[in-house]
Amino acid sequence: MLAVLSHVNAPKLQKPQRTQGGGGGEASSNLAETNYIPFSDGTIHYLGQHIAVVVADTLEHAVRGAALVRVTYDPKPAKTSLDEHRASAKEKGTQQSPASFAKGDADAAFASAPLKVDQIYRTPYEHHNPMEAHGLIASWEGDYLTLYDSSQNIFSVRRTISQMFGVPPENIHVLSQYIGGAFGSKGSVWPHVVIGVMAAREVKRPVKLMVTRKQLFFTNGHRPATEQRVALGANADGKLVSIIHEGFGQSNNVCTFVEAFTASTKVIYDSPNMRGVHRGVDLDLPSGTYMRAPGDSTGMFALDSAMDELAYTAKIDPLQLRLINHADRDPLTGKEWSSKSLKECYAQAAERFGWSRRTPEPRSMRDGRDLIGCGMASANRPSHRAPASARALMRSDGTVLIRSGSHDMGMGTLTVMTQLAAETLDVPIERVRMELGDTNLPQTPIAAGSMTAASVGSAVFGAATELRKKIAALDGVDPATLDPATYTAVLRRHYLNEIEVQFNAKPPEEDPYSSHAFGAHFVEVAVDADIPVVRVRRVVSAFAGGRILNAKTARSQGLGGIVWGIGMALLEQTHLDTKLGSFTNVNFGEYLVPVNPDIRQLEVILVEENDPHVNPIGVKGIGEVSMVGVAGAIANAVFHATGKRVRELPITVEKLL
Amino acid sequence: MRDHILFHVNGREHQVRAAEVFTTLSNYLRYGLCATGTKVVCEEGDCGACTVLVRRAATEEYRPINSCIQALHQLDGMSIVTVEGLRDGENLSAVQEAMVACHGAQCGYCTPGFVVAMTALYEKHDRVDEKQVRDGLTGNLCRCTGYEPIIKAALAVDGASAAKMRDRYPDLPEAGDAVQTDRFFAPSTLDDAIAWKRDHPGCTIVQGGTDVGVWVNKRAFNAPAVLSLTKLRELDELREEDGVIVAGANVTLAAFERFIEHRIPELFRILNIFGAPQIKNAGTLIGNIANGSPIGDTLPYLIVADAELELNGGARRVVISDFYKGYKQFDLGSDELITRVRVPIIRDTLKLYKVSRRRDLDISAFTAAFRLVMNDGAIESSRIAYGGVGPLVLRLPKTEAFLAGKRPSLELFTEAGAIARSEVAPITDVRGSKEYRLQLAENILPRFWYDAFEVQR
Repeated sequence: MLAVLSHVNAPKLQKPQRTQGGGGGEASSNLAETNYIPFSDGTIHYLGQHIAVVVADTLEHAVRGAALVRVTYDPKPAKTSLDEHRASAKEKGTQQSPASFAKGDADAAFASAPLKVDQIYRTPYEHHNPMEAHGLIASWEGDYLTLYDSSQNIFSVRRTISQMFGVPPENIHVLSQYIGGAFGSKGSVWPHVVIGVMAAREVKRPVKLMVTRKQLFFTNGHRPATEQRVALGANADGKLVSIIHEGFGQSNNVCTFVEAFTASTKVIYDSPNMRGVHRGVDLDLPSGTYMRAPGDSTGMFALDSAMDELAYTAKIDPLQLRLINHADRDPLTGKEWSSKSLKECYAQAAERFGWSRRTPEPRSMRDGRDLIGCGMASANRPSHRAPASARALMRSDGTVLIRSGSHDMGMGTLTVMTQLAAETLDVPIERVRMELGDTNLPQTPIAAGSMTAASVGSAVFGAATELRKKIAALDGVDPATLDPATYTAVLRRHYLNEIEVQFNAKPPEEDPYSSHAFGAHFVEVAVDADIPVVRVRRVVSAFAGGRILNAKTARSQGLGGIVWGIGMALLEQTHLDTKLGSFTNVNFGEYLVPVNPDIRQLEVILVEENDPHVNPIGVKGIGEVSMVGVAGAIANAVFHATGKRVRELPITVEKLL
Repeated sequence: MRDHILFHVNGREHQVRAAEVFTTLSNYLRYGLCATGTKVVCEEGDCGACTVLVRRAATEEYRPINSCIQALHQLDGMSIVTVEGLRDGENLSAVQEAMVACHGAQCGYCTPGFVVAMTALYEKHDRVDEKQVRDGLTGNLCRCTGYEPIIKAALAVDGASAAKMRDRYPDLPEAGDAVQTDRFFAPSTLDDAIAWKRDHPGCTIVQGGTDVGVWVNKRAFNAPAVLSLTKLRELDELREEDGVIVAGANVTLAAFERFIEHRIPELFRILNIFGAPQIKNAGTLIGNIANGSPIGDTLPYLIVADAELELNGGARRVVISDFYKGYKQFDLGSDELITRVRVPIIRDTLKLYKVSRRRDLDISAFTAAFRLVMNDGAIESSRIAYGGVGPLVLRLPKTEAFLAGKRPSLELFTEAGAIARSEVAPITDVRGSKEYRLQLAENILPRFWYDAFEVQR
């Protein structure tokens, strides 16, 4: 054994400055548990917190050593139940989604509305469970650190480690070239990263630290459970006059995260009066964090379930109700959309699905012993981008190298950026190569919020455009008329082995437009009449995400998002034992994610959009909009099949008895 | 007596001895051989990322198993192919090419496991259909792609031109003799096995190890002695004799499944959704029996069929329902081993049910078996077994007595459902609530009537 580190003997670390919340634009310090420095004191905030690390020459020795550590505890009362502590809910916001919003007088309008729905919806704790657990290898040489970390936010890792360990950022080299999935869980600097780096410094040897599957249920974030009230008031013709969306989710006192479930409510349906608020109930539980389509997937389950309830109350087709309440402008800000093709999404997906063949009455469709139901929902996800840089280099042999910090955790960043550079330079794609996942390359933001294509794409597009200009300038010609076949000749004529440019792309300070990706889901379920297990038979989804850079990778994002929605609707839930404050089903045998037989017929329609405003390449991002709304559409289909409204996810058989 | 084990990895022989034989195959590959293509994700056989191919005998194909829950001692005499062994020199294999072409990989972490599992499909066949692909890949989880591109990739493989691993790695090490090293013993005679078990209290018999491997990884399980029966070739036996299937302790669930496809199609159907190929290729039928879980998927059938266990090569026989004395308590002496199971082929009216939250690759919340002997349109006698509603798989004597002599109808089975409900006392756990299980205990009877009588009409 080489070392046992805990608060007893760990070196003191600095608290990093939190320049921006949520790991957004600038490479902010993004220690997930802002109010807690690992091993800084003997306080245990929640069950599962790291309290010591054992470093040894082999994994077996380390595991054996960890088993020999004896801990004495001084117990304190703990708050673990969301339900019991609902009264302590406090308004909590995020940078993207402030705690509350309001327009008009939503409560008065609701009170006097002819048609009303007022219900409570609940979503459970869920865990990202990327296939690859979190892990790192840290290696110090003097004051220089090389850190291989499975991260979707390498520049933030560098900044945070720099501040905590008091070494300049340029001494720290973070690499994350291959990431085995993340879905938000690897966007923050979790305590294990700090501990691994600390351990390597203490034992003066490279240290490998892998989080076990069980541990990652406690130490790397989750989607917090929520309880949401949605109250909809409408006129007899179905036009909304009031939307109220309020509630709370689990939070804790070491992390600022809150599940911002009202985010979509501000933009998806038009209403003259609306208000929303999300609150956090600080519990002595592990920290939540953003998980694929945070806020929107949980919030839209509630909102689109309520819309479905309103459709039955108003006796209006659910699709028709959404068209009646289509927002032609951003309903809260009044801004124009940079582009919006939600109506086309509804139309194309409904047509393909055969929505018109649905009979409106619940329990009216059958297939043998199966009850058949059809449901639909809308999808929305804001289109953000953040400052990003890229370098483009051309060699005299005509090959191109694109370099940008960035990340590819399976979304296809390498593929689409290579393609974008090849298109912009008008050279064969085989000549272009890209390097990423390295803090020695130009800086980029976190790979999250569906903004990688827009952010990094704008930088790569800019760099390729500038490179073309720079080559044209050598000969003093117009870049538009420069024949790409002559690039190498120009370089040779000027005795250049290579030529390189860097481009720093920045979003505008003020955006006159509201930019969102939209979509629509249509779902058919079959519910076994005797053992009411729900099977999703068919999903047809249409997404409009601006320009689609690569139909194959975009479609895959669509399929993956739908499958996440199916998991959210029917399977995924982390159970909490409130007596212990412990998650209990902490393995793949009991935390169920969909397997291939759960997935039948999925269809993704990509509605092409030309958005001249959103960013230079017209891309809105598609990785999360695909998931938003699926759970609601399934819940609505289950109601149509069975006549039972399940307002609490996941929809298990128990809730259909 | 050999003091080490022998196996091939991608055609090269490896010898391992002493405590290292307890290392998992996945750790040996990753840390011992730096063959890191094999990924470890769940460490319990639930995700397939660690899938490798294993061939046990010259007469067998290469089959996929989960390397994270296989100890090296289980691999004596076998040939293993990892994802690193699939490439043909500089070229990707046909399966790998198809995965690239169909965009079957996103983050890539599940990909090696899928590629190996797909390769196994084409070891047996040159062409496969979608059902075979979906069954063959049930044990592999993917969190990115939504599966469809992977299924398409598997179907796009040109199987006829794909290299077969049995041709590339045809050899198996010579390892028929007994092995003893550290706490591990694989004897070559039954007497030696019985003596070892008797002399080593707490001895664990590890055959497929699909449960023990999970205990080792997740609960730091450390058996004082480990016994393997795999050298006892007589326990490889799998044959039909006078309407009874005789299966030895070495018979895997996969081999048993293939054997009963046309003999007991109803049990075949349940085994088909029992679990992943990787689990069925490792786990044994007798292991499932000896584990004695109240939700063991083969047990309801074995109980209504009156299967018999043969102990110590026939020294004693026990009817299976007498074997279980309580939760994980068995009629089995410290000097006794289950050597064979005798499974009668039922020709009466038979239906089996397995209910789980996920359609596949999920541990059951509830299982049931119904066997009716009909006489002139009436129920002469019946046997009903339920799993997941108590500490054991239960027979339902009151319900069985109620049905005797009556003519099947929806009303009869609805009434029987209420009686069945009163005969069980399930608990709530992560797989289902007490209320749900009670409701299933009741609903499954009218459902059985529908499936057994109404559908045929």
